[in-house]
Amino acid sequence: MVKKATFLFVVFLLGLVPNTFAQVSNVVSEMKIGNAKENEALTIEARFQQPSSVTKAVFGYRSFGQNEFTRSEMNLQGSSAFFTISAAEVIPPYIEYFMHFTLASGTEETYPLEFVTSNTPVQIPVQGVSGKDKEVLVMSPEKNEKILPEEFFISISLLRASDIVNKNATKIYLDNKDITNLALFADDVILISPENFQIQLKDGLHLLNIELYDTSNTLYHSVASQFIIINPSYALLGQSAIKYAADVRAESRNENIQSVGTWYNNVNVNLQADYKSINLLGNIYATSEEKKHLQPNNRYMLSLSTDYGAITVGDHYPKYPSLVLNGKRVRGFSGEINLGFFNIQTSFGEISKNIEGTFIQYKDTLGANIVAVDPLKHNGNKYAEVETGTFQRSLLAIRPSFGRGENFQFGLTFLHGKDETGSIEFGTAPQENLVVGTDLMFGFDNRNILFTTQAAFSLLNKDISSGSLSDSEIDSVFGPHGLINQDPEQVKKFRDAMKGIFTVNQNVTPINPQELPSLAAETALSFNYFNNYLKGSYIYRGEQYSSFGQSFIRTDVAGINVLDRLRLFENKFFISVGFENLHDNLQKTKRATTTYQTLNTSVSFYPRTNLPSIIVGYTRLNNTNGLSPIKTLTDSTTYLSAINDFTNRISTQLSYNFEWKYRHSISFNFVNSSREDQSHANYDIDNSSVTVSSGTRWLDNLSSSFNVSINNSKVDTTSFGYVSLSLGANYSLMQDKLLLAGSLNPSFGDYKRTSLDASALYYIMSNLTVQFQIRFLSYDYTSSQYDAITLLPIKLKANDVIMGLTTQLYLQ
Amino acid sequence: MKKINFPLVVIMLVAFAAANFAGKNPSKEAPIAIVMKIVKDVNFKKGEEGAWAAIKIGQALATGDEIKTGAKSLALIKFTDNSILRVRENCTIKIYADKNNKQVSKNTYISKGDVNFEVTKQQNEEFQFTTPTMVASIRGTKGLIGVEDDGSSSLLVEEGSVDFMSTVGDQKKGNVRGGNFAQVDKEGQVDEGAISADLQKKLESSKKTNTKKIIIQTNQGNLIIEYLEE
Repeated sequence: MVKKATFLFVVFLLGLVPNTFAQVSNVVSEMKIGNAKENEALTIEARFQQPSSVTKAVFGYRSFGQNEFTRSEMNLQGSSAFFTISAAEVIPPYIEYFMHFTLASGTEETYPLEFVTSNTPVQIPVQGVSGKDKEVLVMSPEKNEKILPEEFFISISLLRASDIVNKNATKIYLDNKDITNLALFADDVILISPENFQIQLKDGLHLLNIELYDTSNTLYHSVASQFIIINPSYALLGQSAIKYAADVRAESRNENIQSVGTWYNNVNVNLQADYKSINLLGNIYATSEEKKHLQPNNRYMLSLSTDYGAITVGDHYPKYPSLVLNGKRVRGFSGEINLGFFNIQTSFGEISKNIEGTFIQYKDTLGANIVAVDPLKHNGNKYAEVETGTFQRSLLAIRPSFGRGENFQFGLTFLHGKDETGSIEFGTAPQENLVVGTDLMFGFDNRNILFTTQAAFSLLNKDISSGSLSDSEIDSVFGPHGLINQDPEQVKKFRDAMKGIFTVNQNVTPINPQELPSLAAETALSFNYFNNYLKGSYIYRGEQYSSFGQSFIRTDVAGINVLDRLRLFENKFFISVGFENLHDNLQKTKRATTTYQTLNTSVSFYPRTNLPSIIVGYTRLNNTNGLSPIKTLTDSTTYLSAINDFTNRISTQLSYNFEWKYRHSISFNFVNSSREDQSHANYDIDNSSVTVSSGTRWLDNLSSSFNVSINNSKVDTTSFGYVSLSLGANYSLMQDKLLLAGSLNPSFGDYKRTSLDASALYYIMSNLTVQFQIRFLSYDYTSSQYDAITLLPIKLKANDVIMGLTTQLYLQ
Repeated sequence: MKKINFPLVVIMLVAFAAANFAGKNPSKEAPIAIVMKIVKDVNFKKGEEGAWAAIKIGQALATGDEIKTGAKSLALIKFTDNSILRVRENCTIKIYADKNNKQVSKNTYISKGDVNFEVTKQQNEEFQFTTPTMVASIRGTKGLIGVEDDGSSSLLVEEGSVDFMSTVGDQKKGNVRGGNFAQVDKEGQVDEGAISADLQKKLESSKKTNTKKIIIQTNQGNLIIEYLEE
């Protein structure tokens, strides 16, 4: 009896929902990531420890073989931040990501914590499309179908199932509950008729899992589908020509951080409606965190789209060629007309709000943080020391294009961005940006051969406060004897040509456009044949390329990237190799040219049966600029600029779902990254982490999880290590009307922190929930940030309590 | 012109279709399709000996089963290969299937009415429609096939192509491509051409399966009347 209890306790400890476990973080308490499947959009939700502490979240991600991360602002809503990776970007064997948070305290932090030093992102395994998926056809309910409870029944066709499948051994799970006993097996069809199905299904999303077993009773394949039960009363209302769905969520939260209690309240409304071929999407998010002195936290958006066009107003993220405008929040208007042979897209609005600076004191002369002020408004004073504010920055983008984009498209893009100089009084150096770009795409043989190219040229004026130069000012600033050696007449011609479009003065970059310092271009050619995907690309990014629509682009870099991915055994086995060779110093402005070489390799195995999935990866990065790290008598500074380092990174991921008395899932993750710096700085970095996660479903209404993570880092001579545990359980009662969840997450070592989470969610009605959440946080560790006065690392020790009450209503 | 004995032709065709499929199927009870949706008056007859009875959603259909719809009614049928039939009002169909290993060849006999079809790509299989005057062989496409009271048949093809043969008169063979139609009258005369605006409207209308409901509150509870969206 004791043995059995011990066994059950041990297995209980091995419980987990693997994709929700967050690595140790001061910001993130939980990551919610669905199953990543090839060519299916993937939504990522990061839940925060102290939601009010995050003012901005950026999500960086890349597919295998890409060394540059695509970065985009995350959508901050309440206690979470969201980002969706588009279906086309979800490619096996994995996606790597990190997040970068700007905190209310003004500090910044990455997730995972070690990313800032070791550059090691988190991997999400991506399962390839399987040929076996076609062997199971879920006839009803169809994937993502919205269905009334009384019309619900399940029918599955195994017409195409392999001969080795024992159709009668098929198991069906609805929301993880085994409902196979309700099924009628008839030849190729499995049917759970409405009469046999007496379970009351709640409104909302439900998951259907089907497991096929072979004749030796071994799991052969499994498929997952999902559907949405809609409320009959709302379905009746929805019988009108307009179909709609909406959800309203209101949250009230108290955060008691370091003995200071603050209330936060927010309301989020999502609306979706269809009328004939017109689709409407709407979102309003209003929060008490909206402040005059901060960039907007409130969000609103309304979008109408048809087959031939769309308009969007409010906060949105328009997508243009990636070099020009992508991943940037615009508060304004976007519209597009898509005729196929000709299309046009335009966006305009505000990308940053004006925030007035803070007056400190009057000064007699100009200097750092000292701005000129209007003497009439300031009692005759000409200058003032201020904490500078942020100008309102507006943006306009237009892209006419030709072709549908299936096999051909040619586009031209124009972007203009400008700081409104009069939008604040205490600000310095308002800027203006102009970008012109072009893009071309050819696809052949159903896009198995794909050629894409884009190029953009930018102008940036770093200070437009004095406006365009007059003729006499140009004569004095430009010319062989002026500040800038450029023909004054040409500058005048250029100024006149740009009149009304762009401010021309001595602050315009580039000043040497003939050397293409502000050109960015990339071109790629890919072949997808014989289960082998081969892609070669070339990039060029001048050091002065700048677009207000693309804040995250890496500049001063050029080179090639080659990627090859081979799929074997019905997409169960992937061999991937990528190589990149980049160099900087394109405009010869640096002492030496650095070469960045990266070799990526990965072998992945997704058996889709009762064997573990495995991903093994090896990456080598080599950066060198050829300078000697040794100080010589003749040159006392060159050695300081020497770059010569290499990094070896090995990663292994195993995950396994199995049934042994109960249903379990277990995963193991190991990453070792070692950077050997042979430069003068000798800035070696070693980082190792091991994570074991497991989850068990004990009963239909009881599941548990357990995770352990061990992390050791050594940065230069400083070591940092910790062990983090997480024990959690979910329990539902009152016929699933009340859902209870709790977890205990202690960390030991150099990072001492314990969090205790508990939540109770109650269904007042099938479409109305109320949830109470409480988090207790206790921490005692030395931060990586330094005190501005003592210059010592900040020690953090406190007990925090965060409580929240959320109610959510779904209408369909 | 020699007059055609129309009822005799119909009987022969049904017999032909049945003979082609009956007997080869390993099990007459093996489902080959499921009724996914019904609106108003839809009846079903199981095999030759069965009696007409009201049908329910989720009903499995096997070879030899018949479906009959009344006025303003609809039945949505999905085959085990995901092919879909939208059986419109006042229509009678009988389905046959011949299963050979994993290949299921299907034949749907339409004695009257319109059927909108969405047939998935067939691998070494056939999906045939038989009417009193036409046989259409489909490999994977969308369209509408209809039979008038006098037996004349029309085939509207939305995309892809469909081979057809008139089964009366000089038994002309042909192929209809997407955006075109073929009509076979009761004499076997074939008319082909591009789909007109009116026919296009008919084709689009035949895809609609959405319904509207009227709720009448009574002392005995709510009375819900469901009808097809125009």
